[in-house]
Amino acid sequence: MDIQMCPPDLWRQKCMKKVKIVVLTAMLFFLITIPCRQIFNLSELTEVRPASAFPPAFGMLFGVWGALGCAIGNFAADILSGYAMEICIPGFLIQFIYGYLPYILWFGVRKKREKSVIRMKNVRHVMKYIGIVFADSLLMAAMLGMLLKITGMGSLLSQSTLLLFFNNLVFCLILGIPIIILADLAAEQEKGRVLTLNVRFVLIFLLLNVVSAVLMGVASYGEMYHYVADKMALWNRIYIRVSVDFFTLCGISVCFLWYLERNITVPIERLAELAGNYADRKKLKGGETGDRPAEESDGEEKLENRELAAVCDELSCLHGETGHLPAAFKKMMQDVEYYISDITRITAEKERIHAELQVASQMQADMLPDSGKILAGSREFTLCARMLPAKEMGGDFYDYFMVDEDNLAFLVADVSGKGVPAALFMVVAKTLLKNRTRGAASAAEAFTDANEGLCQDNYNDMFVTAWMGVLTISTGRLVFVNAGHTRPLIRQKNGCYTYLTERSGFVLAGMENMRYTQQELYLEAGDALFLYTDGVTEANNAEHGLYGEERLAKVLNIKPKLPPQETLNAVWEDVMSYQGDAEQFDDITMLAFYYKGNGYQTKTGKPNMEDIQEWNRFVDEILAEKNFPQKEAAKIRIAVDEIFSNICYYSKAQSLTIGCLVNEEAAMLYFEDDGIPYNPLNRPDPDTSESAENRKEGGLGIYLVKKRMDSLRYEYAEGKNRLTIMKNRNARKD
Amino acid sequence: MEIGIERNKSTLEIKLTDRLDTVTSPQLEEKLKEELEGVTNLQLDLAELEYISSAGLRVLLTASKRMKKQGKMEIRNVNEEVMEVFTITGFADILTIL
Repeated sequence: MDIQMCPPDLWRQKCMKKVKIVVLTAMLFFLITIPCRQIFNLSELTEVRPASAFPPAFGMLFGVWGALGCAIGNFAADILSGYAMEICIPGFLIQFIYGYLPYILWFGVRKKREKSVIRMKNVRHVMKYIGIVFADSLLMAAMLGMLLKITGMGSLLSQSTLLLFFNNLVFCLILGIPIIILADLAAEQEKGRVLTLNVRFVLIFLLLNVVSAVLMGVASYGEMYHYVADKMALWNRIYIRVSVDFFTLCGISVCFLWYLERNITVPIERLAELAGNYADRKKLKGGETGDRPAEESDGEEKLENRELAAVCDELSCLHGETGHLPAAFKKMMQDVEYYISDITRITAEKERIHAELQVASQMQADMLPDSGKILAGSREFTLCARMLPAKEMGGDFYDYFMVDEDNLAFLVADVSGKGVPAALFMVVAKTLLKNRTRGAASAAEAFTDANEGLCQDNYNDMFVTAWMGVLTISTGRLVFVNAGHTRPLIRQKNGCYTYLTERSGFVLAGMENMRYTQQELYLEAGDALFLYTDGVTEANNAEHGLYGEERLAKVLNIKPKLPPQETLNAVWEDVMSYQGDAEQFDDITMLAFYYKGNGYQTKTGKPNMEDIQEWNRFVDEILAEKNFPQKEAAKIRIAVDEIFSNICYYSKAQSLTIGCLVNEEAAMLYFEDDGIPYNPLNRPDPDTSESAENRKEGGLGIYLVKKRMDSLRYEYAEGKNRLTIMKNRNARKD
Repeated sequence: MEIGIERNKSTLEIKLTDRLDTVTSPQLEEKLKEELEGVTNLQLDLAELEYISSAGLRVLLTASKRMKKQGKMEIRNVNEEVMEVFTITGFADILTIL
């Protein structure tokens, strides 16, 4: 450690610590030595010295400062005991060497010392310690022996030097070992670390050895105290017994511990560490939010996994359970990796499908007409619809479109089943129904045609229930056809909503060659319809109850006069609140329709040529009132003239109604008479290139009308001819 | 509908106003029946005629056929609206329109 780098405070702190070590060890040494010298004095130079354990122990614990402290303690004790200076000073040096040598032997000359590491953590360390203290004691005894010889107080090989040797060795074993163990345990405790299995075994056995040796010592003392008179001989014999006891037990312990270490404890420790690392890394990886590129971490992880597997392989060479454990762990690790990659793949796939469904769901929603979009003729009606699929995609749909200028079709349908299959069939059904309705002469025919189309290649036996109404806006005539669908509710003449009782046909796509029949009724201004699918009436609540038709009618009739948007919202909210937290069972679709009336002003009477001026005036006034451009109005007047005169001359009608509606874009007129069925539009056009002599007079009038109106339509229904003409405000540019 | 008639020897000049439709055509037809005797030059001024219906066309066609035998029939001052009707119906080719 580089001291220079430390700030002065820390430096002082460190110094203080060292001083404290020196003082404390010196005092301890001194305090233990003095009483022993009094009680167990063996000669003028030595005694039973438990303090002999201190220099190597403190040397190993605190290094040079511990050794120095012990040497000072010894020096002080020697002086107090009145030892000669030539003994005291070399004694001080010898004590210092005795204390410092183990430190050097243990940690080596390099100052790279691991901080507070358990010193006796395995068999090798135990052997090393015993070896060091053995050598140290021997050296110390030899040095003191030399000193005795030099000073002439004894010989090198004598009972005294043997005693000195044993004094050191025995106490280093029975006192030094517990001191070091306790110090290390305290340090570990402070750091909050838990002892490993192997360390615990080693420490337990060492302490048992120590206890056994101490007991042997005490027993021997008790036994021999009576018959061995020479104290030095007595203690030497006690020491020998203690040593023999210790080394015998230690030999057995070491063999046992060594086996344990190789085969059980250390492999288990390594495996535990491995498992811990692996688990930590997985947890870390789970917590990552992609800050690190995935590939890089994957690569690293694979490498680490390979290392772990190698360690497992190495450990699984062991016999028995300790060998099975790492093998099992490796297998488990590989399985975990496999499952993780599997789950990752499945999750990615799931996400992809979900994303695609999301897009498809949006596409389906986009296929349905937007309620906000204003249709041609929407001055006469308001319409609002909504569909909510139970899953991402649904089989329900609604649709509305203009069949032609005057006819609005609106429908609600429900494909059997839910999800993607239903959605696919829904697309086909919707397209077919729209196309066939535009092409067909009637709503019933459209259903009959669509049914044939849907029956083709319908191998999955899907089917569609549908209710469609086609409203002639100008008259309020509503033709409707039902293919097994829920009955709509109708509100007429400012009354309440009631279920429309009508015969229903078979479902669409259910059976070939079905003939659908249509029914009709007349809507008046203010009448309303509410269409829905069974997702509404069969909505479930948490108690598995059904919403039901009764409740639907009730909700609608709370405020029957609400406009469609609000009607829809009211029902929607009620269904949602009924459903509560229960899962949506089926697609929910509803459509609210409100008829504002056709907006036509009408004049009815017996068609009579004499009265033509009156009829003209009726039309003129409306056109003038609505500021219809003069030039275009003139064309309409001619048309009225031509059509009216035709009716008068040829139809034999008793009653004629002329309806006229003028808006910002166009003027629309219809002529409804109860005369002979006759479609003037079928009359061939006159040859306009004929010379004057050959010109026929007939047919010119209707030809003029055809040429100069923007659209004409003829229909015959309920015994009435009905010719509708339309003229735009702004002349067509053709 | 007013029918202004001016006679100058064998020349008959007729001014049509307002509209020539189912209601007014019979009047013109009646007038022509009365007046065309001995006329060799029939001049029709349509300057004030707003529009014409097929009934009017029929009258003009009848007149034109007759005048072919007696002399000539010329139509002038045809407005856009009426001209359109003449064009659509092919009368523009039959009648002499100045």
